[in-house]
Amino acid sequence: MGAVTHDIGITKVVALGFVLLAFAGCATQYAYDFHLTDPATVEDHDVSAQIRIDVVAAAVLLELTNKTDEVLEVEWAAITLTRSDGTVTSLRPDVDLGWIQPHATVATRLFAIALPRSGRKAAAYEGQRFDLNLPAVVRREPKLYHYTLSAHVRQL
Amino acid sequence: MRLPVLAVIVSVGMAAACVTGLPLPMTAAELVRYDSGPALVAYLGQPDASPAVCDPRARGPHVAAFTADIRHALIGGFVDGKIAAVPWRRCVEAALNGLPADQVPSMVDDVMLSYRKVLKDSDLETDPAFAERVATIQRLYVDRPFGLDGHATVLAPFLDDLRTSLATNKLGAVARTFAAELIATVDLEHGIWQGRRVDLPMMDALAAAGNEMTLARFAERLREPGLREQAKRRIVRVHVALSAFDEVHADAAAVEDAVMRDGYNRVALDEHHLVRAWFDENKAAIRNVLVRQRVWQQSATLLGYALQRPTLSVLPELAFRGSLWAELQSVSHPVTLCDSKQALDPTPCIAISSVSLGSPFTYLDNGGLFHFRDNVGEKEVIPLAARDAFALPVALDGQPAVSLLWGLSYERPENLDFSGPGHGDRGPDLDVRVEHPNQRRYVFTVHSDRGEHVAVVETADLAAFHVASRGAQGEDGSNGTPGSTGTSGGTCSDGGQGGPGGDGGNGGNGGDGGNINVVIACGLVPCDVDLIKRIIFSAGGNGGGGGWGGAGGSGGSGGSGRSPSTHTDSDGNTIVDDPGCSPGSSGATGPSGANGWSGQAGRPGRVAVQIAR
Repeated sequence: MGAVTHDIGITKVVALGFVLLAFAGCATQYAYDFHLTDPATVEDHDVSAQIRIDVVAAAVLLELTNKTDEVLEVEWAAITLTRSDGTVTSLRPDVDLGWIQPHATVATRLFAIALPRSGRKAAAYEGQRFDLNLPAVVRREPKLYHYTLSAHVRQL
Repeated sequence: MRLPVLAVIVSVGMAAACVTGLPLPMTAAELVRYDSGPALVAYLGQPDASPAVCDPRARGPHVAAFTADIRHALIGGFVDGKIAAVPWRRCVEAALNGLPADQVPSMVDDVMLSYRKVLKDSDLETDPAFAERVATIQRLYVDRPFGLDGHATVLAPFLDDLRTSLATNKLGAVARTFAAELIATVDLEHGIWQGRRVDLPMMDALAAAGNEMTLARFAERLREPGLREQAKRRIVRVHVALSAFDEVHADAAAVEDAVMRDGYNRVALDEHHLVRAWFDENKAAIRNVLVRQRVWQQSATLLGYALQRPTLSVLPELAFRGSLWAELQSVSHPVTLCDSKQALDPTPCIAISSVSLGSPFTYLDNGGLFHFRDNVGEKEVIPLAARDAFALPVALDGQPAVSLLWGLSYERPENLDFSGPGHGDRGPDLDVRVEHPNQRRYVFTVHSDRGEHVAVVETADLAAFHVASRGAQGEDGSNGTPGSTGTSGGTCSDGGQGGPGGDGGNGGNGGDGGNINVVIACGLVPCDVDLIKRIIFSAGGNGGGGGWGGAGGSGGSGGSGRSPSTHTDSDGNTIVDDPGCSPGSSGATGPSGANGWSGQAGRPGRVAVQIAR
């Protein structure tokens, strides 16, 4: 089995993940690409985010920058990913990052995201939306960030 | 609500009932009567089902005992996707917290043995819904209160196996992340975190960096009570540091002590008077109440549905936290109800004990949630008929604050159709009072020798409903006896004719309908008097059917024939001694009896209508 995750380097397109799968068997194998549906949403006055999905590692790769002059709290234990069919996946970082200090950037991997790799279930993900819901406390006020990605599946 | 929508709701509910073989919607009281694992799964699988049914300490209806069968059904039902994650987890947590101590290990064993199985299931890597169910089981175990655990003889081999699987990289990516967190949590119970012994300086450093997630794990899992307490205190400090309330910062030490003592930072409403209260429409539970009446038992069930979820189900619990908000004097931000004690939230809040609901259909249970009494007496739902909405008035420390208004409708009840008690008996005399307390509804109160029966009928259902006194049907006549079989014929003789069938008996007369005195008291709301007169009637019972005449007996069988006999004389001539004979014919079938006459129909009674002004 081979796996590649790469960033295509375009700022606006911050989410891209795909996997090459070579499982033995008859079912058609698929690779995934993820794109933010609205790249403008990844940055506001307080926070900027970069998101990628690593299907092989079953992880969402998240990079957050606190643009404020106060510490920023992400409720790391309350992050969720909601799919088009309403399925909700709870995501947790592999390490507790605590507060994000003013003007600091942190990167983390959020686990675990399961995705079908083959057959009709995988093909059905074409065009599906993934809403990453990130609760945070910004400037001492609760705030919920939504980042929406759309999936594209490619037959291998 | 328009009728077609209600019809869809009812039909969807009935269709759902066919899936499980158990009638749905199922109320908590009905679940308790079923007392089985499949019933618990079916109940929890309904929208808005309350996991409080799993709490042995609950005031309301709850499961009597978590037998092995019920535990296995509950866990299996979740793994199979029949119960959603939130109600399932809350159910198991309620059971673990409320069960006698000696029953807890068996439940944890069952949960973790199931977890061991699903962790090695290949679907975990590719099926998001399945993976979330496994994550839910994991969270249940790693977040459980300290001291609640399974038998070491069961769990230790599993955990050893898990460590080996991790070390030898035998798990998929998703399973590996679950297993790593589980093992780290188990290690923490031995005072070790990331290879270091947990102490106060470590906690201080974590608090200074805002590592609340780790401190929360310490507060739940460290074996030493003093260290768990210190972890909690640091979580409170993390929360205080980022509180939006200036008064929390100004009085941080006192707030910290209050939260450590009570679990929350309650605002005294006698010091901070209520300015106004409101519901956040985006977060408040909005339902429509459907009253299902059982008119002959004079009881009713309150059911619910939502416009975005038309499936008829039970009514939800009411939490109000996050949906009910109040502006209080000298408090800088609006406040809502206090969170659970485990949340260690220093945000000023209103204690659940300050909240009361002015509804006879609700009660406050141990978990700080309001529940509906969903099985009630018919008399209790009659006063609702006058109202446009199902109101839930909320008071804070006894002071009226705000009301939650839900839609209200009554399912069309069974007809109040009274008939005579036995064949041909007269229908009972009835006194019927019709009231129209709201333009949307009529209330029928019927007095008879069988007591009082009340039914509420939506105006839109009026034409399909009726009240009647009906004579009982006459008894059916008996069938005639069949005729006897004819005698068998002797040799060469015919059989005898069958005997005649007996005549059928005549049917009995139907009973007369009883007399009905109707008082229509419309009050200020105009009534459809003509329609009311049509749907309240007296009717005679049908006459009993005449009995069928008995069939004639079959003819006797004919006698057997005889062959001819001869001999040859001395001259060689053939001499006939006996010419023989043919077999006899069977006898004719006897005549059938005459059918009985049907009884006469009863006559309707007198119906007198009085319009009350």
